[in-house]
Amino acid sequence: MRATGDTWPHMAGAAAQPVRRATVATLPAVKMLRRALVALSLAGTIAGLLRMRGKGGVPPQEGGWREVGVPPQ
Amino acid sequence: MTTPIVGLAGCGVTGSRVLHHLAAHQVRVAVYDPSPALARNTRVVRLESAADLMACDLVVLCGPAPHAPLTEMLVADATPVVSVGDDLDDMQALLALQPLAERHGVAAVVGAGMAPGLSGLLARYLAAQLHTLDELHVAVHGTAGPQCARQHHAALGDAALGWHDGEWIQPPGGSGRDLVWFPEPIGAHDCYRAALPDPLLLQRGFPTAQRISARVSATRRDRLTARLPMLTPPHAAGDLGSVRVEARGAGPHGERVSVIAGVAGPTAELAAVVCAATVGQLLRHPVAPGVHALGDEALAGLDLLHHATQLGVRVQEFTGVARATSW
Repeated sequence: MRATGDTWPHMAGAAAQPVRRATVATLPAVKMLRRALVALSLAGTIAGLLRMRGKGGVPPQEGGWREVGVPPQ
Repeated sequence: MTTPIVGLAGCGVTGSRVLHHLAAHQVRVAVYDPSPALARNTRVVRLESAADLMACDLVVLCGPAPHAPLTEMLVADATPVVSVGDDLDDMQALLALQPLAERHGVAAVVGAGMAPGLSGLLARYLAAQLHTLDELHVAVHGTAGPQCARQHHAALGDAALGWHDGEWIQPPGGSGRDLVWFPEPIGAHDCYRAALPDPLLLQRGFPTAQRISARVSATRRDRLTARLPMLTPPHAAGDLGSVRVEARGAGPHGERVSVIAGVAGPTAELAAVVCAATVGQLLRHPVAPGVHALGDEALAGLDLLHHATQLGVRVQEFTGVARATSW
């Protein structure tokens, strides 16, 4: 049995394109900034969804005050 | 028959208005107030000492707390007393004078101002509209004079008093926020529990009520500084105030019913009108010996709320459905 590219085509492709590894490590500050941006965008999305689902801040507007007479007993 | 003489102890913001109302109804008034401001007023009969008040037919106490020591002295001399005090500790001491008042056959009416006072009258007025009374909730806004403002400030920092399911509770002052709509022009204000004597007096007058609470309006700064001295001087002449009473209970067919009444106006004027109406009625119709509050059944025959409206109090009723806020 021959181990050629014709016999194992997928292995042949993998051998042709070696795994690419990052050569420069991500800076910790950039990583934190990225996480903060993700958290903020998530919070904004959730808050927006909740605000759209709520009925809004309308105070109760039923009723009112009316002067009444107090007759003698 | 000689015209009765009313002694007035304390002639400040509220006391001076009581004096005005009584004088307008041809009641002879003698004033005891050691403050130098009164010395300049030459139109009033001035008493030199508190002991001189015992010569009067009835004494009105409008000065700062405590009222209990002077009331005890006057009751022991069989002199009727009307007090506008609203200090909780002082009120407990006043109510403890019940045996002394009965022994000397004299009546002492306590809490005869806006709250307590008008609050009790409104509670009685609302309770008559219910088949069964279960709850009474009082809210107060505004202060009469500087002493009254200091009293409210201190009350917000002390332990409150409430009647809850048949027993007394003492929640901390400044707790239990409730957004309360007062009659116009006062409008909506956040109100908090405080050391107010209204539950103490209302529970006596309405023993069937299961829950009784009292709250006072306050801002965030008021709550924050309640346990400190007042940072800013209070209004020298008082301000606009209001009292609102909500009664909950059942109708004749068992349905749940809530009825609300309130009054708004200058706080000192409201207190003075209620006090003057009480004095006027007590001079005409003596009541049973003992210590009474304005919401008590014993004073129902005096028809005090009607007489207060005759002197300028405008009672308002909330129309619509009272319900919890949903926002």
